[in-house]
Amino acid sequence: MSSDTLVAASTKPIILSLLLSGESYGYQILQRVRRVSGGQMKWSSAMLYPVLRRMEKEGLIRSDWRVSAENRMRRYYMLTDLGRKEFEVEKARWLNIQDALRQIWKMAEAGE
Amino acid sequence: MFDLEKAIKAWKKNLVRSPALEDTYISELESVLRDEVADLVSQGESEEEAFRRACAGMGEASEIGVEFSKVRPPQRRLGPNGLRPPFLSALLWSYFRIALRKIRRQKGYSFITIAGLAVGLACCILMMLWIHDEKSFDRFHANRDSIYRLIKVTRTSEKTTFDARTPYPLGEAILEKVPEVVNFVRYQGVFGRWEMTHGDKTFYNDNIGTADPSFFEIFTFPFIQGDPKTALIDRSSIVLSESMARKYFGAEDPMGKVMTMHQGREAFKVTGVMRDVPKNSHLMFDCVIPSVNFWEWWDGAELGWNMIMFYAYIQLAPNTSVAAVGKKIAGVLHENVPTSRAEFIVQPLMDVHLKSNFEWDLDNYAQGSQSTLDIFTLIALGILLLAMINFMNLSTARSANRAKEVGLRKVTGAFRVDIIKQFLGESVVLSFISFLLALLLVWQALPLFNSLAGKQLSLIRVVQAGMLPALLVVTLLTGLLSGSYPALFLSSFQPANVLKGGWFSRRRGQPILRRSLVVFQFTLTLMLVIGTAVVDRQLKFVGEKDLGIDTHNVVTFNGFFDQFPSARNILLANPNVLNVTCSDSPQFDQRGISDITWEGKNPQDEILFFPVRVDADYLQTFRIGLAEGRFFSRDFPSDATESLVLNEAAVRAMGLTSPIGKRVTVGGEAYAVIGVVRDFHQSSLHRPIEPMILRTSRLPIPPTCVRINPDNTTETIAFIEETMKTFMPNVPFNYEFLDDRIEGFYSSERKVETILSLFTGIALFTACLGLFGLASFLAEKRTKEIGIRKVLGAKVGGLVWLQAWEFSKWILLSGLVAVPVAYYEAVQWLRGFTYHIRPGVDIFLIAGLLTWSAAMFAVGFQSVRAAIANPVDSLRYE
Repeated sequence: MSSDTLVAASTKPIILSLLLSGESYGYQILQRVRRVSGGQMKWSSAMLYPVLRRMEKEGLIRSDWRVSAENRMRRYYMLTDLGRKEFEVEKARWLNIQDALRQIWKMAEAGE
Repeated sequence: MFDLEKAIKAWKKNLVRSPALEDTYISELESVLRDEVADLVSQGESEEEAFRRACAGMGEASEIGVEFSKVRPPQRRLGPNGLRPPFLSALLWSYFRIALRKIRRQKGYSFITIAGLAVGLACCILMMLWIHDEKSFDRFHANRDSIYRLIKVTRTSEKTTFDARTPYPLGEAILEKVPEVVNFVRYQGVFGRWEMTHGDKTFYNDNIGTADPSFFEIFTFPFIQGDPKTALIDRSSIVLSESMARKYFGAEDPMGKVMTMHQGREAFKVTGVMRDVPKNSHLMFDCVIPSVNFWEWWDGAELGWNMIMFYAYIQLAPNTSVAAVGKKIAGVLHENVPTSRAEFIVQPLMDVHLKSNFEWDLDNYAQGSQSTLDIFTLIALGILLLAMINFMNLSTARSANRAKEVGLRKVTGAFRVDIIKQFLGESVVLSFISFLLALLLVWQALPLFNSLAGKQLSLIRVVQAGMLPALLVVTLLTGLLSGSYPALFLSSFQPANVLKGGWFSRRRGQPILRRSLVVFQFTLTLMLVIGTAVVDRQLKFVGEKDLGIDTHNVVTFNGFFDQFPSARNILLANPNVLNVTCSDSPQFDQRGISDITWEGKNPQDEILFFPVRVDADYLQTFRIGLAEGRFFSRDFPSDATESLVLNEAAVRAMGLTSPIGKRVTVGGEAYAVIGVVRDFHQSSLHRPIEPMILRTSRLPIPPTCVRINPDNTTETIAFIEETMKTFMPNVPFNYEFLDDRIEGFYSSERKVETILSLFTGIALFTACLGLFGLASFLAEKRTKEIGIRKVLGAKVGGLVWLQAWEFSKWILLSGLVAVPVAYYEAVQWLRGFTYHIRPGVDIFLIAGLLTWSAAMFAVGFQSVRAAIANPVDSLRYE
């Protein structure tokens, strides 16, 4: 798995997780991803928007153009019910992977 | 001074150029950019620096496009609902939809294109079926590649004769002397002439084959009962086909049963039952008896090497030089017949059906002809080509109507490739619809075609013979080819020109191409029409030619045998019976004898004579003229053993000046020439009149020929049958009118004629269909012009003529191309007849006129409609 593919695979769960706490807009999402990863993950906006559009098409999120406090048009994204369910599924899936990897590494360190 | 708004505007302009980015993306990207700039400014950066850094972070417009690809996760290949996308990709589906929409919107035009293509494809499918069938002949023999047939070539000072028959003893001699020859077999058939009897069942219509015991070793005719290796060893053995066995024996086991021939004089024991001979075999028989029987019945033992009657097949060892074997075989013949200078051609078995055009050959099956096959293949391809041209022509002609569509497609972002793909896609869809229609047409037309061509083709064979992939490729190619010109042509439109209008009238090159396609179409059609006319004329000529013999109202049948003299008197007592003779009727068994000598004969010359068995009433019955001397007479009993009569051709061939009284030796017996009959045609007009030797009846007794009064045919025939019953109660009465038999000589030509006229009709129809479409389009285009002409005082007649002349010019040009080619081909074909017509100017004129009328009919309707339209309406057009 190339790192590009990994990024692509993880965008959906990350966005779902970020939106779990409430609605957000594109730039905010980018900033938060950068912050939580300590600057390791730098998503580009060009990459983000097609993903958002696709997720919207799949009914996981919905969006709304609204005027922001700075008097600019912004598109806000929020989770749908389907999105919340999808989040649970994704969360379980990633935790599984994480557990599996942990186990493997632990065994590797133990020299088994 | 840095202006953020201006900078953002410029940045957006770059993004707009990228084809991958949609407007909503760009707005969102802009909002991100603005957020980032605001963020950086709040951190203390200058606006300019903030913008520069924000832009750098987002990357170049082109890079943004690349970034898009990264978010495509692997499951992207599935559709939005998680299902696999349908088999047809979305684009292909869209071509299909557009094609269907076009068909609905332009019904007439679609009918012309689809029907035309379907007819063309149907012809193509029929031809493929036919070719496949023709090529399958004799393929079922396991040894097919090592079996050859011997063809004897005799060259005299005047001509070269190819004869498929060989001297009887040749086979054994070459098996002994030529080591490359592994096996050989002689074969000859007696077709529906002799009766076969078992118990109370007698039939006349069986094809009796005579062959050597090796027959079933060389050829593959699977046995149901009996042993193929030994079945023919005993001279009184017979092998029956399955259906013949059923006919005579029903449910009984035929093995070991006895069948008789020649009124019980010959008896045969059934030693084997084989499967029926496949339809695609050049050897056609219902039963086989050893050839040695035939050889003796025909005085073979007496004639020896001069008995030339059997077809000889040899099996060669692998890697043998065929030419060398031919030379060796000729050597063997020369050793035994020192006067002979004949050569031999060794003909592969697989060539026998299609490439045999010899003077003497098997005549009880439909001999194929490579050249006929080639001609029909070309014609079928020609018709397909006509349909494809129609398609191209109509599509390009209508391109003006679609130019705007192409312009709009291009404006909204279609590339040239997309347009080409779209048009090719459409035409491929149309061609596949046509293909389905063509299959339907073939299915419907096969019974008719089968009866015309004398075949049993079925549509199933398309699948069985693996023709389907080939046909699909042909269909695909047809679609691509016929769509290629419109596709390339239409896609080259400059949208600006097209949408501004007035573009079409400025194009000059396109009508020229269209015209040349029409000329090409009519050249093909005209050639076919001329060809049909020539064939028709020749066959009429054949039917009307004075043959020197009157075969009308003559009935022939196998009958009275040794009781003929008494039966003759009873028959003649009926006033409706005009003449009775016990003689060979035209087209009797094929055998030539060369063992004839006379005073002054050049020993180098090898002349084949045709022996005819006659009686004293022969000349009267057939109304043949006497040139010199006298004919056989009952007043001269010695005629039976001492006299013979020649025909004029024989006198010429022998080089006799005063033939009467000349001594001629035939097979060692001496005869005196008592008379010369005028030449008459005893076989088809394909062949010249052969030298003939007429002698009084010898065994086996020839058939009875009766000339009857044409007024009371039914009663007279009933009377003959009754008479026959009193003499031969067990022999069935199978009579034949000689005229029917003569007609049979030309059955293959009649077949050619019917198929040719069928194809010609189709070609004419297709070409006219195209012309009709083209004319309607042109009339539509000229509505305005015609309106103005009418306003200025033009008459309807003149206007119709204007259009008619336009098309007439093209057809005239087609005639100039078609006539010389057709003339050459016609002359080639007519050469197959020794007696034939000369194609005159009238044929070409009539054919031309016919084609022109058909074309005018197609054009006329539209022209008249355009011409009588009210100019007010036409000028309001657009």
